[in-house]
Amino acid sequence: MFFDYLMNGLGLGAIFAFIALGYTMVYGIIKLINFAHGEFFMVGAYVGYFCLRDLDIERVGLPQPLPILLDFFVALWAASLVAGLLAVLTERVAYRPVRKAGRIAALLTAVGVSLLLQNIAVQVWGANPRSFPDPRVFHALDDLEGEAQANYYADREFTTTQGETVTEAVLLISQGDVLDATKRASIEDQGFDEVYERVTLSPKSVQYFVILALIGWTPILWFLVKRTRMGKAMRAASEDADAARLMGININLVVALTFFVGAFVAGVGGVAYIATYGKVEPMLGFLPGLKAFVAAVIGGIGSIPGAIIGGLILGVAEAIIPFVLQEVFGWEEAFAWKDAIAFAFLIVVLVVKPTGLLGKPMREKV
Amino acid sequence: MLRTLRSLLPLLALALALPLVTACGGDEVKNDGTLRVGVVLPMTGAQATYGEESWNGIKLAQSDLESAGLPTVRVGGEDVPLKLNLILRDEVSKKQQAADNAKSLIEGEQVHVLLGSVASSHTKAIFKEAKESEVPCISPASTNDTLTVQGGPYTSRICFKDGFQGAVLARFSLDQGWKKAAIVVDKAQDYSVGLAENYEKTFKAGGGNASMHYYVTEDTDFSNVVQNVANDNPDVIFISGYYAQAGPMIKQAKDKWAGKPIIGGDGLDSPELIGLVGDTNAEIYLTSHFAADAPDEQVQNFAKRYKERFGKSPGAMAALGYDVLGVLLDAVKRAEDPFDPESLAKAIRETKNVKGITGTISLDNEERTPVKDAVIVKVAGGLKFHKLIPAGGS
Repeated sequence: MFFDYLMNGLGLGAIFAFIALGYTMVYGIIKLINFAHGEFFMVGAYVGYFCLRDLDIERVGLPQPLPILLDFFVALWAASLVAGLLAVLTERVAYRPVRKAGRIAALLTAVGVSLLLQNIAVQVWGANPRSFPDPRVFHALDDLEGEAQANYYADREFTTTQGETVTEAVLLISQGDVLDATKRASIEDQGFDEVYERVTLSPKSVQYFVILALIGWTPILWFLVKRTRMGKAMRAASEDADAARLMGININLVVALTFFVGAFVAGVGGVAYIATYGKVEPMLGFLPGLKAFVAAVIGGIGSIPGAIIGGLILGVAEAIIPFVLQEVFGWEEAFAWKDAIAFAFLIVVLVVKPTGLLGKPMREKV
Repeated sequence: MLRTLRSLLPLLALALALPLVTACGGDEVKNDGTLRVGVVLPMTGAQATYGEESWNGIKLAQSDLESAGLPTVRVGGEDVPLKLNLILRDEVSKKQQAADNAKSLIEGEQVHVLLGSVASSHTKAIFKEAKESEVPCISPASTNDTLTVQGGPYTSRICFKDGFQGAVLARFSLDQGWKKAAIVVDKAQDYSVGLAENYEKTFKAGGGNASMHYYVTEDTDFSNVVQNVANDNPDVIFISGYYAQAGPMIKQAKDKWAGKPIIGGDGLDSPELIGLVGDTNAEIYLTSHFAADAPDEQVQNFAKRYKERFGKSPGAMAALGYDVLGVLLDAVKRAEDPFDPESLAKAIRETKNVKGITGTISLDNEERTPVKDAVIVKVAGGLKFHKLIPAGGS
């Protein structure tokens, strides 16, 4: 039982970690708390949503479950790339002009960008939550026989009296129904020769996937920062931006790349998030973004391993602390208070260790 | 600097006073027989399908009533044909916005009557404004027990309340032989908390055993609540909340609640529920006001026409939206002066035997809440009629 809660915590924590990485990388280089980062995550989630909904890769004709995997692969890449490019664009348009104007100005710009992106998302995609598009697996009606193994649907189009064309999914065969000649004939009479099943992924498998993805990404990021020329430039810029520029490092390029990588990883988190929690909406970046920021602070802002550890700790704390309060102290409502608990946890960590777990103590320059 | 500010002060005072003057001036507008109806609904946000369906229902009712011919009303000693002016405001699924909308409709648009909203917490906020300004207000779909009692004599609703709904759900559970229930409650919603208490009361009185589990509306991660419920190993899981949370919760519980029946109240009645839940073998039942495929000629006729116009099968909120305008028009016909709030409120309170899509509606002076039938709906690739529960009984 404890293990189940731990896994839930790790699954959530891995998503926090994906977002926290971007916060921490950007902070490490230009000392900017990029509040719009949660919105890059949200945009990534939307891009993933549209890919999964509209690409219909399932129809290419590969054997299962390859198409579903391919579907997610494309969605993840598209989400990450778009989120990354948006971050680069935002940096160029909004942050670079104020980079010299001091940290408060940059911080306020970041808050503004965050609100702007949220509102653009509301205008473009609407404020209504959309449910996660489960992958659809198509079958020719002739291929199906005997007792149905799943629910089978087909889409029907019709026009309303207002002249709108509407698509509706019709449940043709329920799981357990026997597909006999009469049933087959009645479906064919309605004009369908193909049906599909909706594959709702098991939440547990998505959880494992997110944790594995984080484990996979960690060495990639480590390699990028520690073993490449660009990583060396990033570290140099974070140490002392002016000195790095004098050494011939293109600071603008380094900053843009940092934004790109941070948002790229957040895009992965965005798709994982909607796959895990089942819906996508314009405000979806806000709370996870805030919590990821908390995670970055807990881990020590500016430190990449700190962001990963901070994310996982926060996720686990959100699951385990209420669990303990509930099981040991008999507080039934503990889980309704998990957000408050997460932020209380931040305060405790900061009181005990103000620089976060892996943060370097910062000396004030006089 | 200070001096310029000081010289600007009178201007500022004037600017502040101006809206007051114009607001008072609104009273003078001569009435030409137009009844201004303010409608507050969640058109966007987490409860958007409620708003969309209710508003579609209201619009369909308006076209039906208008094509049947609206009655004449007496204005200043003259008979003039009644005109309906529906003014819709989106409460964006937020309580504070619902209150602000009600206020602006009452003070700015000078509406004669308010309709709305769906979520009980939000309707409470609207009723509070209606009570203060003494403007009649009817909720199409809010079921919380204390709603109209707190709202006072100007407020009413046309749906059953949770005292009834909770008891129906509890009896249904007991009839199915489910003795141990896990109740999942949204701490932040009056509807959710009230319905859960009503369920628990009847369920325990009938020999059942219930445990409570909590979440809040803002949650998206339900994995731990799901785990808590699974640990209890209940016979049935009752989600007392709204579809926007219940849907993802059921999806996240796909493995852990496998084989357990799930029940819910009318808050789960949304066309969006199926998409949010995903493909599931779970047995899901919910109580509601209406089912589009119920074996009733009037219902089927409504469902057919609704679908032809809006392209979707109607849910309970659509039918209640349709009925709320019917009830209002019936009251307008009977009221001595429909443009006088007190007279209109009195006529609404005296509503008797209005035939609607969701049943026969009669209001009373005590709670201004009808006693109506409920239906049990089964979720299977869509919302399917399962069973009718007659009013008063179960």
